[in-house]
Amino acid sequence: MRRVCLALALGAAVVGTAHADTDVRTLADSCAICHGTDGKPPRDGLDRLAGMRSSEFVEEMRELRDDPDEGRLMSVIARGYSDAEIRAMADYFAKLR
Amino acid sequence: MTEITRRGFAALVGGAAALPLFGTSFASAARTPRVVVIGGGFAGATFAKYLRRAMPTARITLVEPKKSYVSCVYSNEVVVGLSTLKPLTVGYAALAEAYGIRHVRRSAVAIDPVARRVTLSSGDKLPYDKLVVAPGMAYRYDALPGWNEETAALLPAAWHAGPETTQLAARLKAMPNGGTAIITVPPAPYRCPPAPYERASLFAWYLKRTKPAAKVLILDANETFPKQALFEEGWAKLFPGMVTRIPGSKGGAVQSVDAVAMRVVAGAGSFSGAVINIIPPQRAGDLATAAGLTDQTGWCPVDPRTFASKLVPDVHVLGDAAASGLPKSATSANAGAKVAALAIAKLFAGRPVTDPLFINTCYSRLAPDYAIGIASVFGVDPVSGAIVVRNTGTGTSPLGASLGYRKEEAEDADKWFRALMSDTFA
Ligand SMILES: Cc1cc2nc3c(=O)[nH]c(=O)nc-3n(C[C@H](O)[C@H](O)[C@H](O)COP(=O)(O)OP(=O)(O)OC[C@H]3O[C@@H](n4cnc5c(N)ncnc54)[C@H](O)[C@@H]3O)c2cc1C
Repeated sequence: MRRVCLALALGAAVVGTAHADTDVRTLADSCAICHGTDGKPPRDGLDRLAGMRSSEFVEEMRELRDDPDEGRLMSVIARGYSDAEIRAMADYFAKLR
Repeated sequence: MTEITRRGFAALVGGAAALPLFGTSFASAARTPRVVVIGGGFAGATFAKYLRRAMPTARITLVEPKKSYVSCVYSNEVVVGLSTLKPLTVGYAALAEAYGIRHVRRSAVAIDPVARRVTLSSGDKLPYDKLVVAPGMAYRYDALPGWNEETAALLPAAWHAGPETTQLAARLKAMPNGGTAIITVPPAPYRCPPAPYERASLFAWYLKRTKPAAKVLILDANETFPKQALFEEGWAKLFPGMVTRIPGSKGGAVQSVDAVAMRVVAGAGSFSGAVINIIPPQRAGDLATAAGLTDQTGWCPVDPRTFASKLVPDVHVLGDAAASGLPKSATSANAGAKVAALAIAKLFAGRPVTDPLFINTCYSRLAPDYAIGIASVFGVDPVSGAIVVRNTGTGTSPLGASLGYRKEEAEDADKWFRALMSDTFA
């Protein structure tokens, strides 16, 4: 199976995510370092993800990914996930209260 | 199944990779799984919390001698008086109360991987089914002539946050206007690759205001460093002419230091410092070395999908101590701990381990309202098993951004830090 994609522009070794089998908890928990455990940030924190409408989550992530001026470091991070993974996270956070 | 047969069995069939096939026998083992975590830093604390989320009934014990933890993250701010140690200090009560983690206030002194027991400083022994070792890094007192346990008091490294941070702050404060503050950077890998340059920046910020004739000199064993262009842009803009760096190829590697004469000898010459901050060469924490978890590099080789030690069965190594391919940072320690927690829960349940994902983000502050960042999303290459960037998910803050942008990043950094602390300890 050829999973390694050819986006070597940055000079670093890279891997594509199209076939990655990553648990949605791993995807969602990765957000917690900035957005808080379960997407519930501490006071004066970044955006709350828990309970966000899934269409809004998907749209935000796409905007961040496609417009480098949009979200500072979050624009970089958004590029690390596939469309399917973004949808999976969106559904996961939408269900959290 | 008895402990001995289970262990012998796993060894026989080649460890983790074979477990899913035989998982049901693990899942149905009568006893509640016992997991012992050594070290309650960013790695160990995150692991304990996230393992509880994945394994509601496991017996999780955290072995950590300290009553409270002091974060290195944001400790450079303390050195120059922009913060204090108080907001960097956190106890273990939340982990105990909200997550049912037993905190044993002892040091681990030895591991018996055959009997699967940890010996504590009290002499007590703790049995485990899985052991997680996260002792952070240790200074190598034998690597730099003139820098050892005694002279370290005169030349504080402040690469562990706490008393050393306060000592370094006092030395900077006492520095005369016109002297040089020298920072020496060890060869990579070491804890937090951008932090020496953040420290140099904040030294310059502080000195410019209080001792404007002073200078900062970085003697660097390495050729390049993370966010280099952004740091250099910031130095030129904020403190022109104050920060000089000598890279490895120009003789930047420190060869010896004299704590009495306050001189540093490097390939490039002998330098006199009013403050000398030796960031020493490092290795995995003492316990990792004592337990045979380290290789010739001084760090612990692990499989980045599970953080299982490549040297000792049923032991996983997290955080700075591990040679996983991730940078030695608090964010990576936190990210790796979550991956390991889910992987270990799956191994106990006899289910296949899924592909990991890690975010590393690191902000560096050059001045109160001026921060720069770097972020990467990492996965594991299915062929080589190495840590690699996912898609194009890596980058830094832009060069040439406005002061307003840098200020927003400084605010982002504060928000990130509060979330990181609560995600780890609360
Ligand atoms: C100046 C500075 C700035 C930094 N800034 C950042 C930053 O901005 N962002 C970032 O992501 N990272 C930053 N870091 C890096 C970060 O602090 C480390 O990568 C992180 O602390 C590693 O976590 P750890 O859990 O592996 O180790 P540690 O945090 O060191 O925790 C190890 C714990 O194990 C305990 N322990 C050790 N031995 C034993 C034993 N035998 N028995 C029981 N317990 C034991 C110790 O008491 C300690 O509490 C910075 C570091 C420094 C020095």
